[in-house]
Amino acid sequence: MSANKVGAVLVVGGGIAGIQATLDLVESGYYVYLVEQSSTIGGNMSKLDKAFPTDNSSMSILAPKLVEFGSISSIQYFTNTQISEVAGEAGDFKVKLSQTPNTADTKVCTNYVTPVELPNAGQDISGDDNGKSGDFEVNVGAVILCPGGETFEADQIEYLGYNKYPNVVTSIEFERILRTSDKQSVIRPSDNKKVNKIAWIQCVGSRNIRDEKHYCSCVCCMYAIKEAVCAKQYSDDEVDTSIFYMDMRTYGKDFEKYYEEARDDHGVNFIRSRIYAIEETKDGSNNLLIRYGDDKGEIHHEEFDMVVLSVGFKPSDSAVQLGNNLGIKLNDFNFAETTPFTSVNTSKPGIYVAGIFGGPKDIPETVIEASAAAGASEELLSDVRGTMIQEKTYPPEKDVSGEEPRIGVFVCNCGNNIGGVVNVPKVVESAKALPYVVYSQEFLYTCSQDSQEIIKQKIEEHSLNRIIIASCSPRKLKYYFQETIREAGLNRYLFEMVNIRDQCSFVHMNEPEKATEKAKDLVKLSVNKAGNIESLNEAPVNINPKALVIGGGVSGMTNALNLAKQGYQAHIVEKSDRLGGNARRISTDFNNQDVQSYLNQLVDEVNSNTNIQVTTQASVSKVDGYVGNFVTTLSNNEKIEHGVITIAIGGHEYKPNEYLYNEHNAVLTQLELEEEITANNTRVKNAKNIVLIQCVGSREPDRRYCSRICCNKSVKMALQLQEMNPDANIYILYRDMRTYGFNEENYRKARKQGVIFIRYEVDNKPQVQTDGKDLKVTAVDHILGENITIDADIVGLAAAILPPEDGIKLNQIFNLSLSDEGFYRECPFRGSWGFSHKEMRPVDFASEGIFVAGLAQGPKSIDESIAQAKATASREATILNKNSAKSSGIIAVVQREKCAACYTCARLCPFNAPRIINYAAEIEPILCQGCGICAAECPNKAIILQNYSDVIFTNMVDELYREVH
Amino acid sequence: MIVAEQKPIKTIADLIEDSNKVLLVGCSACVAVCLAGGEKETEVLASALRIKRKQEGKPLETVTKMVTRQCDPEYIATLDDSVEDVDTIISLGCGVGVQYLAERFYNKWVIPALDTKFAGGSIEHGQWEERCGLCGDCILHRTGGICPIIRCSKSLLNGPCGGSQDGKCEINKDVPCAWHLIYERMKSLGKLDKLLEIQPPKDWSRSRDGGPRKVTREDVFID
Repeated sequence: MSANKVGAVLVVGGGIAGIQATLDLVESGYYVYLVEQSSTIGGNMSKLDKAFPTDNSSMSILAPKLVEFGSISSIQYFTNTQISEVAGEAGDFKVKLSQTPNTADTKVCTNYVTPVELPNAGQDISGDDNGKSGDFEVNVGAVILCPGGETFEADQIEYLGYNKYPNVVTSIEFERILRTSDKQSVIRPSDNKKVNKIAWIQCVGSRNIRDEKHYCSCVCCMYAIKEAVCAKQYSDDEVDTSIFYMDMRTYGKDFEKYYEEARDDHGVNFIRSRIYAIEETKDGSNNLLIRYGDDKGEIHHEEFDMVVLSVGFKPSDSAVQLGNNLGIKLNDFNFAETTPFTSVNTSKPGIYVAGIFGGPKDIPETVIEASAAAGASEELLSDVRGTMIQEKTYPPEKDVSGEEPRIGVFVCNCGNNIGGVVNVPKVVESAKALPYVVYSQEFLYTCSQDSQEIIKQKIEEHSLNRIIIASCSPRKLKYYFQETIREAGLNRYLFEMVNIRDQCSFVHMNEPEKATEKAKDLVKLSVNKAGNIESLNEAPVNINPKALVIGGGVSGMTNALNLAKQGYQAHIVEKSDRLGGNARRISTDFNNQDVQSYLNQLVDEVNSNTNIQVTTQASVSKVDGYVGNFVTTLSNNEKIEHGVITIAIGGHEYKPNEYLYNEHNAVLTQLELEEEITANNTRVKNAKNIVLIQCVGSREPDRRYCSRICCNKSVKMALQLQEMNPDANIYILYRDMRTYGFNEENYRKARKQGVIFIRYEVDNKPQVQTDGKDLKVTAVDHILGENITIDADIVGLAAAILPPEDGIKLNQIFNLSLSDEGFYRECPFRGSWGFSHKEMRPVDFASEGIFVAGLAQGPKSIDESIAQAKATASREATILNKNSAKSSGIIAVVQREKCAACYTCARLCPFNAPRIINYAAEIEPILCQGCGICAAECPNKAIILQNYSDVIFTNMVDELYREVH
Repeated sequence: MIVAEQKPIKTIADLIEDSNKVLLVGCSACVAVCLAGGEKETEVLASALRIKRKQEGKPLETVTKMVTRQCDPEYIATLDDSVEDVDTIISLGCGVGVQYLAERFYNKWVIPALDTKFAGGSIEHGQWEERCGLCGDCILHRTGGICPIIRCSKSLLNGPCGGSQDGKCEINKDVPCAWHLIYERMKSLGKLDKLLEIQPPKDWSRSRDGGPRKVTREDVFID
């Protein structure tokens, strides 16, 4: 590792992973160079219609991140750029970049559904603009690779008819059909006719031995279900949808419910089958005939209007080349290989991977890995944190209180986007005539750098004290313009934005005169409001740079260690008498890596790190305070002051009531069997017949979730058992084999090596019987349809993973959100306020400063827990690296004298900001996100959202309808 | 708290049909907490009445006022200057509040905007349940803190009737049988033997049956 480290990181790829990693790094005090080989950022996610399992629009989840991205200053990013050479070592890399000429306008990259503006786009090091080509070098301490993935070329499998028949499309093409749909019908390509019957073919290019794509692509089952449900919802007529699959792999959090609802409530057909051919019908209708074999081996033919191929992921050629150039190890399928128990470290120190290049995965997991890779880089570069960034300084704020409003109105043409419809000069003219408006002008692009300078100059020249910008959506550029006025010495909140693009030129493009009138009215309203708004203060709070980590398992320890290595204090509270958690009972992970030696090393590192304090045999009994300033009391009365909280309290294995567990001593749970394997127990070693039963307690009516890892674990154990005794017969009784991702390799190996897999139906479960001595397992062979009986020596039960035992108790202290099953629900707020969506903050809670990692959030593997623990550390570092934080100015405030202490606000706030103190509500500024729910619901009107009071709005309405009155 | 519920707008509108100017008086106590008569509801009701009357071509003028509690004369007195030129006073207080207003403003037409329901508490945001029968002679110490007077549909004193099934009352499967709850609670407290004591007939004269009631604390009087 280099002695001269550099406090900057190179992020390769501008998809969701690259964006998330960048945001975390910049917030934590590192400079970022981001390179993207295409001309726009957004990646695969911007091509999707909705995102499962919440069904939020993919773009609406991505857009706030893009906005945040556009507003940060300690970053340079380069589109149309690739890495040509990397020299140096961890801590100090010299990376040569090469940029090709740009044909697109980087100021407005139009992703045809949602235009994404990128202020400050494309400044490069030499000062050239992004449109020119050239080579240049950047010096960074770490590199994060998130080049994403590509979809499989479906025409490589000839019998599927892709590129041959117009109505066979890929899933990503179908996303586009959904996005452009009029939401009344789904149109097929050949004749633009409405479709009434659609089929999805799963595992196209995945689990495919012929094309050497053995692995499972993880997301296709879920996206096919989502697309099938969307197709029904977007059609006024009844649409018949069928999904042809081998195993339904809905293993993620809330996925099983999504699957059940699609099947039972929406009526999506699921057909377990093998596809033999897809051909066009002979009648010239361009319909398609699918020939398939069902699970009993019978051949069927069925006609569809359209067929969607659920194509899998593969790394792009350029990503593979990049990997080879960098000299990192790639796996058999050319994905980047990570070193054991790191989740994100490539074979080369200082180079990390996140997202699909490390293996197929969904959006939340990609975001988690991106944060984890940022956390790993921060650990490496902690001694040079903050060396490459400069704190921005501002001129002193002008006191405008008591001044008469002097309003400046700037109206944007947005090139032709607004000006092509709305008569902008007329809007400017009408603005000038409004009360208190002392200046108004138009801009071609208000968001350009030049325009910012002019705005500042006009503020000075005309002593403006309120600024209105009439342009596009405030969601995208509000913060950017607020910066401009702050640089001119005005308080950020003396600002209003009017969206005359979306609300005028876009929606009334065929009625330019009315669009212009509407724009004038909207500006008039805004001017009225501007006269009533005031300067707002952002309340500062100090941040205690210490984390409380609840739970001393792998997740808790990884989290604490990452923070400690970043230079922050961490205090682990463990309820048992030693560190280690569930991992104590696991011999190897799914890649056959030794868990115990890893665990011992981790415990040693934790114990010897001076930044970490450990309290065992204790639990949390009380928590006071808020982000930055928590005070926690433990059960041993110890008081800890800290800034953030990690909840890593794990989960536990279900103790089955079924299959003679507890009645016969040869019936064991997975963990118990694993312990016997580790101990090399003779009864296991000598067993002739071993039966492993899957889904014991999972995917049941009272536990409607998949425990995610049990299929992988049973397959791993089957291979271990086979190694112990090659003569043993091993049976796995399953419902769907969910060996997702590269775990499919072990499944294939197990089948090849003679492990016998027998599928059972949920309404016809295997029977385990005993005569008091021997065990007999009876199951139905699904091909023969007949009972088979196995004299079992050992029966292993894949018992469900249950939520943490202390979850509900702990939650009474934290008041966070739990899922129906009892797992912690990350960021529960799913409203349309433009706040976090589940996909985008997968380790955060809605309450600021509290984070979750590991089994407490849901079933997952050790590697996945490690990724989450590092991601949590990275998110926490964005808070802990600051000495103080500031609230927003737009917050709710309570008029104590009117408060009835009724608890309405405290009950309804999604962010736990209001508390009742001394018989009245108080709203903690740092926790308040300004959503206004409390202000709207307060029965005594005791709460006001600053600059959004009732008076302001009734004035605006009166102004708008003055002529009517 | 006293839990109340707003009457339908149409009913209230009918009650003020002949008025041209009304005073709406909200209350910041119980009815604010149960989301029936606080400032928000008062303003919303005033707007609704104005809109309705405007649509009907007979515009209505409204004045809205809040008082801390409509059940204390001093607070009511703060309205003295607001009642002069109104035709009707609409109280968003409980039945007590309406009467206090009617007593103080003897020559004004005072009408209730709420239906006063019961003495109870909140279960969750937006849901309230009855808990106290106001019988004037509390026996909760005998019944495990669960009131059979108001929570048993028959106000039985010595155990459930034959209509108790699976813990539910026969009047409705969503209503728990109070005596079932009492039994379970006493059992978990290890005090089932207390339930064996026979309760004599209750002295209902201490309740409503004895006529209007009054509480007097001579010890706090100041001469």
